[in-house]
Amino acid sequence: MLLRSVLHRSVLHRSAVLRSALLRYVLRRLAIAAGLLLGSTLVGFALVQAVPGDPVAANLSDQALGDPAAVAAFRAKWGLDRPLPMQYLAYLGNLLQGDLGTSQQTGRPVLADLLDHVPATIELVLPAIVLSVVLGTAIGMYAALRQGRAGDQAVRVGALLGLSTPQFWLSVLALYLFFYVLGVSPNGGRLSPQFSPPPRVTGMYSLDALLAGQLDVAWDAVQHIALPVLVLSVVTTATLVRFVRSAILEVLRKDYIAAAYAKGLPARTVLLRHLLRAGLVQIITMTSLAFASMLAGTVLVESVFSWPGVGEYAYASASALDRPAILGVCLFVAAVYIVVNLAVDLLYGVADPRIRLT
Amino acid sequence: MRRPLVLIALSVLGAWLLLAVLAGVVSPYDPLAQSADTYAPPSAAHWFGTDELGRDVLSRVVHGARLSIPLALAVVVLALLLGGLLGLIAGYVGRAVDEVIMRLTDLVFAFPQIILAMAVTAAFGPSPANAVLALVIVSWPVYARVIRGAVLGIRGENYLGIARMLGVGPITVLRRDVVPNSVGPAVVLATLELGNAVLLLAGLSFLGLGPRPPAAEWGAMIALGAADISKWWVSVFPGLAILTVVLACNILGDAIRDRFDVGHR
Amino acid sequence: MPTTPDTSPPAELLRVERLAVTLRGPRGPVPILTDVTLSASAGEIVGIAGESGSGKSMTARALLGLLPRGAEVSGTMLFQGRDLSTLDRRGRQRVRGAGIAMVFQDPTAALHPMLSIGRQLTEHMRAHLGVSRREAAKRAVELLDQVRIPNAAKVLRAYPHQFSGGQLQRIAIASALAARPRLLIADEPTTALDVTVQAGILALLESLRAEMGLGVLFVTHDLGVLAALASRTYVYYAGRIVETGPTAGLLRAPRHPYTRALLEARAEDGAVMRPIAGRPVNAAEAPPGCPFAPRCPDREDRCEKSAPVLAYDDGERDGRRGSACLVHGTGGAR
Repeated sequence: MLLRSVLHRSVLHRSAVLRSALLRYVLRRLAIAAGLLLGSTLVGFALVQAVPGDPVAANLSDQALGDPAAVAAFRAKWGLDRPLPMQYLAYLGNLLQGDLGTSQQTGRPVLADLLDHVPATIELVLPAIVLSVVLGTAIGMYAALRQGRAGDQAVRVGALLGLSTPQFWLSVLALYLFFYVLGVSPNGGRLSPQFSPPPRVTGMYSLDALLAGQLDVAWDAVQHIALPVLVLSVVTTATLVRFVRSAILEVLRKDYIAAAYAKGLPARTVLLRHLLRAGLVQIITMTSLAFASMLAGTVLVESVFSWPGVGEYAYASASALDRPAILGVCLFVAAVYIVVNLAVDLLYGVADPRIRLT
Repeated sequence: MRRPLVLIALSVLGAWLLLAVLAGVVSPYDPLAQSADTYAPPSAAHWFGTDELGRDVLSRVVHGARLSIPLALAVVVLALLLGGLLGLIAGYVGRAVDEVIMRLTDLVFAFPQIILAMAVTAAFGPSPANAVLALVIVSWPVYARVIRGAVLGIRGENYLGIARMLGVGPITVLRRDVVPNSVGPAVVLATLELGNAVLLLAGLSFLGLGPRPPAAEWGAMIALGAADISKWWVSVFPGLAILTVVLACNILGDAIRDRFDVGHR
Repeated sequence: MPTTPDTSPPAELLRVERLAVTLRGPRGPVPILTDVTLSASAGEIVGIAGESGSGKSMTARALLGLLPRGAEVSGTMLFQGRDLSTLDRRGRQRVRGAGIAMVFQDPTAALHPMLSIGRQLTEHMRAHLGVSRREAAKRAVELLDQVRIPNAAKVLRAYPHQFSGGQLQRIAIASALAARPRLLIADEPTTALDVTVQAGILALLESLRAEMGLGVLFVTHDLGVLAALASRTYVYYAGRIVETGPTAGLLRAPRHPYTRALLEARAEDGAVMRPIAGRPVNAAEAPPGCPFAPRCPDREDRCEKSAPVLAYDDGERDGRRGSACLVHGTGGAR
């Protein structure tokens, strides 16, 4: 009787309690993300300071250096005549206004340059991450279920191979094979010369062409996307395969999987509902890490495919030692990564009732 | 993983080390010597062909081992020292110091390694030394976390407490208990990270932020090959060099991890 | 399903004859079970007792067809007259859950942490009985009432971490009963629970037996638990049955030295008082003669040479006493 009343009360109270628990969880995650963002600006500032010699010379193009007015404006904007903490505040203030500095190469604000390049990168990263997660999960589960057998060994060696291949080299090989030898892929770029970009809506050519009803342009865009997406997916898929394999192996040892089989459920249900569901939280985490590595990969892949995305911009900036641009990319990517991580942490709440309801 | 694979990996690494040492003796040409015979495909005279300046690709790949392997080793050793030291301090001192160091590792983890390394090299100027410095800056946190974990584990076992009660100074405790007990995990981690260091270094060079031309560096050689993909041999062979070294490191790392069960990030 | 009148003799649910199981080891097959013969009827609780590694859990897994890959099974396992080992994959799947169900030792580990209680109670119900979602939910509420979990309708939407171990074990039992099995294998269902909760679970099992005519195989390491619960008991050691008989008689006058040692090791309150000397062995480590010989106080020379077989009083088996001991064999009371 006592037990009954205790349980009854706890069920009634639960809805109120869990809402505040979820709120607390969300707030905590938000605070961590905000701290990391602030921290990343410190890193950025430290790197600006680390430049040996005169920061004016390091951050302005030769043309601007010849112009005393430009030099003075630069000094004033970054507070270079004031003490270090004030300089950081000036830097932070500029960042808050979206001012990442001016690119030496293009002479434009770095943020404007970046935003121009973002849609092209999204057009690669989005399909690549989806492909990697699907392939990585499927292959990883397969290997786990065949642990120790030939299929598993083949997957493990294949995954190691994928992890050990330099992406930029794979890009060159892929272009050589599919463009130069087989002629089935275009030679980099986003569109063939005979097409002009579709009217801009999202900035992603394939999507915009579809929206404008230009099917031939959309198909051409997809053909240009295919090869870089494949190359980007290799490393990420390999990472995910290894991770999913060990996560699923761990779940396979759990009693609740034995219990699911003992209930007479079809193997397919056990795999897709019980096994995958249990590994889901870990797979989500890993996907966010993979996302970061994929963003980094675009730096090495886009340049080979002449793909005008953030990665290519970073590459061009690095080659030209365009410091404000490189630092801008660095902060931008870190910010994206932190935000994605935040999103993933919040997704946890949905995937795992222990977080959602505790 | 199975034993034969580990043996193969060990022999591959051994062979590369040997090639690096004997590069001057075994390579048929001077890696920097240009000739009129540009973009010659692989032949009996030039097994791996020649590049756009008529330099022998085989000789350059062999000499590349002299650059890539020592530089990657330097990255791993220096990152291990820096990360190990910070991890020791974090685990031993604890509290605020621990908190600051751990938040710092979080911060570095928030940046993709190659991109942060790019920014660091760009800030200091491109050179082999700065590339190594950049890679140390982006890779020390892994070591710091593992070493800190090892120190905390030892503290949990409480032999530090007992040593302290016996009136031994902190330096002695570090030297006698903490350091010897954290060496194992650190070395395992270093093996795992060596392949990663080779890849990152090649990536930086590919971007033009590592050893500058005309130096024979694998990543930089692939960048040259990417300029004209129809001359496949210019980039294929240095890429295979990177692949074999990294794959061997990863196989070894996996085997060691299976054996000692050390967590990775 | 119409219930049979009480006048007929209890139907035999399970008959296992000379069951042997080996697992694949790195150096050839490893014996796990040797010559296991047992039976269970509807409306009967049968005890299986032994230390860990004695093979009692493997018996359960063999019956459900859930042995690890590479396991070799010989002997017969008749369930409701059908030989389980001749069934194909689908046939075995139909028996699991709907014929033979299982309750695990640790309810916090045996329920999926990320699936709702409702889902875990109804998914196999729908697969086996072909009922609609609504009917399944209705039956799930009835089952929860039956295992005395209050607020059943709300509980269906809850998740395992919101309940205590005792509550979870009741839910796990409800889940096991969902597809109307005839035989329930309970593998140490009270071991992971607080002492205060254990009695409730045992009472629940007893009432399910009485009300539904459920057959129960109750696996435990604690002979004392069986006293008030099981009509008959099998005692396992090293992958074989060393003694069997009606529980009352077996506990009052144990014949096999191992059974006696088990009972003496257990004090009145359930705490272990005098552990058995030596280490328990599994089937793979068993010496050539009697597997218990190295730890046996009554050991004679012949015990180390020839292995005793389970011999029954009067040559009969069911409900009779039987013991596998050369020294205190057939009819050999204390």
